[in-house]
Amino acid sequence: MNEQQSLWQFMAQQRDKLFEQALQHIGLTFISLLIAVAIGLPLGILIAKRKKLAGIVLGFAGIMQTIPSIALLGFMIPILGIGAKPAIAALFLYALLPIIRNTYTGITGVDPAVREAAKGMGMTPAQVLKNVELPLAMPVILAGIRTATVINVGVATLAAFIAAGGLGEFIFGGISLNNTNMILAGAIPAALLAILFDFLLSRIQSLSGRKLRMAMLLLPILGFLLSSFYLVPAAYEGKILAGFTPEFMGRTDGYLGLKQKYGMRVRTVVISDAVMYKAVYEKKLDLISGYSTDGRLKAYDLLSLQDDKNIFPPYYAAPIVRAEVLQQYPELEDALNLLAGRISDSIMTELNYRADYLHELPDKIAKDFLTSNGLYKEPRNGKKATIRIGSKIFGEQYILINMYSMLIRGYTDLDVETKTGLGGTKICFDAMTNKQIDMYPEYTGTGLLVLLQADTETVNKLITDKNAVYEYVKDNFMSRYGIKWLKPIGFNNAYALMMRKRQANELGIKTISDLKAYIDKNK
Amino acid sequence: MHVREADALLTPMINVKHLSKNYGATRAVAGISFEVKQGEKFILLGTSGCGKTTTLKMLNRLIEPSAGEISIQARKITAQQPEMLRRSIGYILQGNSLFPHYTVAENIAVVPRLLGWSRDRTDARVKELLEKLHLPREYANYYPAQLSGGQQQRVNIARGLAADPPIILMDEPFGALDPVTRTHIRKELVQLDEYEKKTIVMVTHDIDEAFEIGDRICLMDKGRIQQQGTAAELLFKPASDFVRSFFSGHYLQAALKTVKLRDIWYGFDAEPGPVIMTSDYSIWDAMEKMGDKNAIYVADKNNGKVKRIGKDSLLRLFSEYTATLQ
Repeated sequence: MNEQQSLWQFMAQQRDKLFEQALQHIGLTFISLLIAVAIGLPLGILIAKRKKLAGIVLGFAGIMQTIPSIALLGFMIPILGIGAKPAIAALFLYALLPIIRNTYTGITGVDPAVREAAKGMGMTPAQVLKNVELPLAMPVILAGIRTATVINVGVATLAAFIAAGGLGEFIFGGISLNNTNMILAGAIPAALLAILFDFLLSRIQSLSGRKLRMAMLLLPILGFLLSSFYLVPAAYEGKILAGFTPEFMGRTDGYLGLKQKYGMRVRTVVISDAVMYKAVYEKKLDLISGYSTDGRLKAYDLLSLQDDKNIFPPYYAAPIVRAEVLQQYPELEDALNLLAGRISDSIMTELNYRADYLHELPDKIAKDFLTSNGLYKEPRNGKKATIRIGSKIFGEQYILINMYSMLIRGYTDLDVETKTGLGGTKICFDAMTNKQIDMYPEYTGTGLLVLLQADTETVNKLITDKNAVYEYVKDNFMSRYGIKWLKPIGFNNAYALMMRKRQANELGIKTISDLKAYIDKNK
Repeated sequence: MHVREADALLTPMINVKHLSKNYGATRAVAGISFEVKQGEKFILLGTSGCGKTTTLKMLNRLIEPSAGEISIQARKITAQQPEMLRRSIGYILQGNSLFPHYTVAENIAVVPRLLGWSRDRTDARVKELLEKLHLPREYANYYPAQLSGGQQQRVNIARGLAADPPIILMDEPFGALDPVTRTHIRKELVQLDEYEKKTIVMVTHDIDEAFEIGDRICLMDKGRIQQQGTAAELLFKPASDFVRSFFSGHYLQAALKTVKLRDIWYGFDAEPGPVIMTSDYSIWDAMEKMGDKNAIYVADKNNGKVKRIGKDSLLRLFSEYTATLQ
């Protein structure tokens, strides 16, 4: 009951945004649907008349349908950039198959006796099509349009990944922020839209004769009307276009903080982190919210702006280990601390770049790094005990745990078992408290905000000081969970605002305050 | 029902010369020729696959011939657009060929609309045809699915007649109906006032239907004409064993329907009485009317003289007559 009330509260609070997103959603759905009908219907008719083409056309549309939607959106970015265009193009491709196929099936399904009667009465081929075949195929064609509409309402949620808006902004923002109300505020209207349009079209489908003919005239008009709901967010300010992840948009240590503490007002679109680096590289965006050690920073030659007012909490990485294990094998701590302070932001970015872009294996990267820093030792093949190391699913963690494995095997008589791919933070941490793993690399910010869930007051007090955060999580983890934070590795994988290095240099922007000043000046 | 002498002197309404249709190596129609006079009811009869339907569809260019030539009223049918040709020829198919999304009225009005008739003229014609075919006026707004098979077929006939074309092509029009309804609707068609002057080419595999409607019958097999002529000629002077065997199962009934009362008119005695039919009806018709009675009174079609037709003499005279023909 509580949950529900707060959902209504959330929706009431966000009603302007919700309304805007719903309109964008409807607009996206219907623009792409109209184009799909405008192209799919004639194509369906064509292949019904020239059956030799049917295989090729239906095959092509079928293949389009099998491409995962997020991948299709990805393919569109180099061609059409980000925003409405690629979203509409992708939705169009999805809507195409049901429309072409149902038009084809509908027309070829017309009783040959009826078709022959029409010809025999003296109708021209165009008259046969218009007066007989299309009206008789209409229920089947409408069923295809219905399917396409429902597919489009669903897939349109993904438009939020490429800065095209829609209800997906709430859905994916909610997923990233683990905010159920936000997810539901996007998902429920999206589901309702799908049900509503499906129902309306089913009503039209069941009409017959003259009423159907009337509806057929009204439908395109209605389609245009609904399409016009997609008003590309008007009246942009300034020259800088920012693309932020839904998560970043909704966080106080994200865009909300940027607005509060820096007073920054920038044109923003919502976009997925999977595509935003590429989008900024291709000059579709000017500013993105990235992670400071992401390999793509190097791959796309981006500059991470200095957070001169400290709104982004520090995310210093350090191994965390169960205290029990450290007591039993004190030599472990020394081995793990060999890495302390060794990896700076730029080194970690470089290592991530090798893993993510050059596709080198994590163990090779780890070994190269240890060797060049004089830390690598051949394994002793000790069998004293086995240390179980966990990791979350991403490249940086794989590299780190490979380094730790090598250090433990080279400097102690302990053996190592790695448990990679433990999903997100929650899974790793639960595995640790349940004694299924002995250690994994964690980040101070995550410890503070996600695991300890410190109150706002504490967070505000600590957040500007990386040492204070570290000390706080260290003390609290030990007292609450019996888990010890070892010394930080050195790099800070925090949120960062990024620009193309070249653009930043040209504009003389190094810090977020510089950026703010530039934006204000160029309004 | 039979051809007036004067008509025979005119050019044939339909003239088919050396008509062939090949599908790959198969010859569906193999060089056939025939003529249909104005007002004549011409039957293309045969088993399925004999080429009769293909022949019919070549008449309104639903199928283009591989060779040969067709003229209608001395004009080659290829001289005009196929759509224009088809609008000038009535076409009656089975009942399931009605446009299911059109009302009865819209179905009937299809060809008048294509011809650009005014709305009033079209509406009046639709009303007239509904009446003639004994369909209640409110059926005008029904959809075909709401009608029985027989009613659908009446609408189908109305659709074919709507623009009052001089020629009507019929493709097994009664094929999908049950025997009772079939006979009933066939009678209605024949009794229509518009029917007499129409030139009709009808495809059927039903011998009864062919004999009842046809002035001349063209029996086809394997794409060729086996024999063409009147029912009596086919029945009593078969040109080949094929023709003979084709009718063998139906011989007696067909013969009873073929021989008319006027054919054996000489054998009856003049005697006044309540006339119930004319001498151009068949022996079969007379027997139907007779029922339990021993005799009926029939008037000569030409001079109105009335004769008494007794049951016993009817069958005796029939046997004598058929014996002289064979």
